[in-house]
Amino acid sequence: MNIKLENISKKYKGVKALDNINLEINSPAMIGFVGPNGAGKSTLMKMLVGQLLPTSGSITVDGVPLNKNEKHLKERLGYLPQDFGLYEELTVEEFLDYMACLKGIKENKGESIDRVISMTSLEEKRKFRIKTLSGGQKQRVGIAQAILNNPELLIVDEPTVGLDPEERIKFRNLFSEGSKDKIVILSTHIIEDIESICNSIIVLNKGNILFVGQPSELVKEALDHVGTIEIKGNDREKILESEMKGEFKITSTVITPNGTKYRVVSESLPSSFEKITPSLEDAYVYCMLKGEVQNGK
Amino acid sequence: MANKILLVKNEIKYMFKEKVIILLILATCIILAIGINSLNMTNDFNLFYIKRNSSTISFNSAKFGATICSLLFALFTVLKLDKDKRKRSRTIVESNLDYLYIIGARIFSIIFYAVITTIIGMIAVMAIQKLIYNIPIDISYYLFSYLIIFFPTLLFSILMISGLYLLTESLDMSVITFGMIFINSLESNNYLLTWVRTNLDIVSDFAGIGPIGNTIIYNRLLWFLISLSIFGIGLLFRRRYESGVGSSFLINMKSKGLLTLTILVILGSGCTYTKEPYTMELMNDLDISIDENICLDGICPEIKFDSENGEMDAHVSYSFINNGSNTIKFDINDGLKINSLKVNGEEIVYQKIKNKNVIEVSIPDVEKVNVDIFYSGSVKCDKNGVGRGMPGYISKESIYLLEASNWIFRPLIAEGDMIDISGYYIAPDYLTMVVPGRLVDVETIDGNKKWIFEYSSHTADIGAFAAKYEKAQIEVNNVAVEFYYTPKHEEYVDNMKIVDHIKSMMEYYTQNIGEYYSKDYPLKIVEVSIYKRGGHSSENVITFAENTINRDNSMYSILNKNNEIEDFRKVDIYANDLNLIAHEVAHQWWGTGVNVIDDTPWSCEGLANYFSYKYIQKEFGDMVSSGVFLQPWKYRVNELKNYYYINNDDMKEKLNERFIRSLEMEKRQAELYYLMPLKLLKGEEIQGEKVFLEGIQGVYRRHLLKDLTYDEFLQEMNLTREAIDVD
Repeated sequence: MNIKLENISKKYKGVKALDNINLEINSPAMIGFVGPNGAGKSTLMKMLVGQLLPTSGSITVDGVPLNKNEKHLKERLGYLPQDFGLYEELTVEEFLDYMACLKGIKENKGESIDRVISMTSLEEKRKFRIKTLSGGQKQRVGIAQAILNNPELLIVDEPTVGLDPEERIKFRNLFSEGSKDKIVILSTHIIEDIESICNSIIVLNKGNILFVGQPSELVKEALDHVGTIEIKGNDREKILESEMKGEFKITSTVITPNGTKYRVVSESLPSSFEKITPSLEDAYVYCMLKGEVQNGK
Repeated sequence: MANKILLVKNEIKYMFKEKVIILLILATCIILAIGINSLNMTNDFNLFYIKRNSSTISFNSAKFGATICSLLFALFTVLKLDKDKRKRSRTIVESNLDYLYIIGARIFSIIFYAVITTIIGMIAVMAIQKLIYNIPIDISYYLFSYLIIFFPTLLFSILMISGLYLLTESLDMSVITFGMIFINSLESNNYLLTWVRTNLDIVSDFAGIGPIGNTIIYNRLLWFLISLSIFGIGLLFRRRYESGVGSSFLINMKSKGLLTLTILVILGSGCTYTKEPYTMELMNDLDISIDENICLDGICPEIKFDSENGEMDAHVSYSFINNGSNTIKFDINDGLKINSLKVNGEEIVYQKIKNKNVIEVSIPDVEKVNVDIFYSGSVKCDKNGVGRGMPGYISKESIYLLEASNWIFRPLIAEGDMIDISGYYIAPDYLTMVVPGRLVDVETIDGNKKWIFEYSSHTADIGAFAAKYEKAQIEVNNVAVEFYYTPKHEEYVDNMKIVDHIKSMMEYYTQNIGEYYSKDYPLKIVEVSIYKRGGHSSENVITFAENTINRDNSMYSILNKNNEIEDFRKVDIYANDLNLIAHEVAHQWWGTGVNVIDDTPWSCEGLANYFSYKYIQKEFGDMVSSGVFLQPWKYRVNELKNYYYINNDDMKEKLNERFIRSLEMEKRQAELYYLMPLKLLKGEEIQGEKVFLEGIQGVYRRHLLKDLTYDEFLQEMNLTREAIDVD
């Protein structure tokens, strides 16, 4: 599958939510969308699933403009939105049966349902009404419906919210395995999730793509821009003042026996800081910082 | 296509699982069962205890059910369409397929359940009829009531609220808007607008569905198009891609098929409304003035009825005495097409007056003018009178044509002292025709009968009534009385001694007013269909609606073996029924015998009401006559005093003309029918019953076949307006 976005912009009442986005995605791929709230992640995802039209630009799926062949996309799509509800009066099995019909699954419907129930560990709850499930279990039902038709394109928006660490790991692996022969797009605030499974990362901020590439490339860009410093006593005020001025961003604060140890990301790291190897989270912060500097903030 | 069918099946399956639909079907069955008795729960006293049969049971249940179930189905529909919004599941659902398919599948599923509900409800009501009431089932009435009235109402509700929901994308707004359309339908008198339960109060046992069948189907056709239009508009404004209403419309407009279909159904609705073929606005013609320079001398109607097709073919000859007019105007019926018009033997071109059902014919300046009009077609009735106040119809089972329908074109000129009327009606031989005046002869021609008649009258009011009648013939004081009624109601007529009462009325009026006005013409009392409520009297023919002699068997308990009143529980209905006949019979004295010149509150209605009240008082005693008549009359008269606009003429300017007219009509009716008889009773109270009735006998004698004004009456009765003031 090939998805191509050309010069995509989206305006809401004059405010740009996406600004001239160009992107090409080919299967297989496991892509992580990261960015702060309001960066345009959900807007971009809604466009990719055909629920939102761009103000300008074009999206093509396998060479065909999306607006002319939404059916082609929807037949191959699995989608879990960030904010969703389920038919709570139905049991898990009934809900998946209902969704299977919407997805046009006729043959081996029962097997498909069994498969996703098993993949999402909902065997014990299959006969339970959805309204009786916990938040995490409902999230699993949401994921189950998204993968019910074994989609070529799986788009999941904040899929691990509400899941316990064990479940998160399980689903990360599930998505990762699925991406062997398809496109999986994962939007999240949890960098760890991306770090674990994504072979590609897209950083968005204020409607612009700040970075597209492998996570290691993003980390590479942050080399020499991440450091630590241990501050004693009154010097704490000084470092916070410097952050306020925008000289760097503190990514971690640890209280030590000698004072406070700060981990910072900066465009030009002061000499007093000890340079360290950046994590993906540091690299993300650096990317955002760089983006802000470029935009003149 | 297979996928779409699968979607519908899926929706049907999951709606069933939700159980709400089962509750809805159950509720519908209960509502339909309650509806069987709905006539007795209304304010329509005249329809209480109507005899139960397939037509009343199926129609009442369907009509009552349609009213409530249309709301329930509308609510169910809008909740189903709003489901994904409420549950925040739309994004998930929409990611699988075009959301339009889901909307379509849900609407089709609800329609499917509406069909199932209709069938189950119909079977339930049939079972009640058969097993509880032990009444044989006539399936045709059930099919009419449930397939033409009940189910379409549900369908319209589903389509309209779906359209409104798609248009507003708001549960509240769509329900409120639907509620307004719903209430408008319940309050309207225009049969075209009454989509919820139709304009009918009841299906006639006498005439069947025939006279109104076409109008009901037309109403359904119109509202099918209107609801499709609303649905189409909803689809055109269906929100797309999280856009606003305008942007969504621009996107949806690209679907040429939807746009074209919506425009077509909107145009179709408009055309169906404006080109409606069965009714006209008869009321508009009230304003037309009368030409006093020419008077009518004679009429010869030669009419052939084609009851199979509901049509007639007429040749009517009019002879006039002209005192200087150049034209004659005729009030016509829009459904009857003029084929030819001759004045003194020469064909001429007439003019139709714009926006009126009036034609103008040029005449030569000679004393004697003969006009021959040849016309044919179907009689149209008033838009607001369908099923309730139809002044004319021709159907296979019966014919009912009052002068008010202008089925005989009415010349708008002064009526002479006496008009010679003679002619004939040709109708299928299975119908018994009731002709005005004297029946001269009946000839049989090719499966038809020709009913030849003649009479003289001071009005040009000519009626025609036909059905498969039984005829009871009695003679009272040398006056022949013919009573025509349908064999279906024979049992009630016998048990409730209707013929005896008619005889008793005639005797009472003869004794207390005077001799019947004519020895030549028999008095004809005719049962007609409920599609014209109440009664009517013209020349020697009176008609009354079937409900008067089509009550439930439980009414029989009113009379004991000696025909005395034993059970007073339903006596007010019986008294009211007899009063209707007594009132119309009294018009033969006051209206036909004596031409009472209207001078509100003075008119023949007050005198007829006074005498019918006196008759009921004699038969049923003071308690019944006072409770059923006197108290309601006083109430209505007192009520007039509380009408703000009636008592403040200067404020009327603020009202629209139609409302003023309706208020004035109400006031006039109260004065004619209730105030005047109260005044007469006051006169009776002043003079004593014996003196008062002797006085009236004198007035009748002196004015027989002449005019009688209010002043003449008061003077001859030694009364004054002030003396009989009832304030």
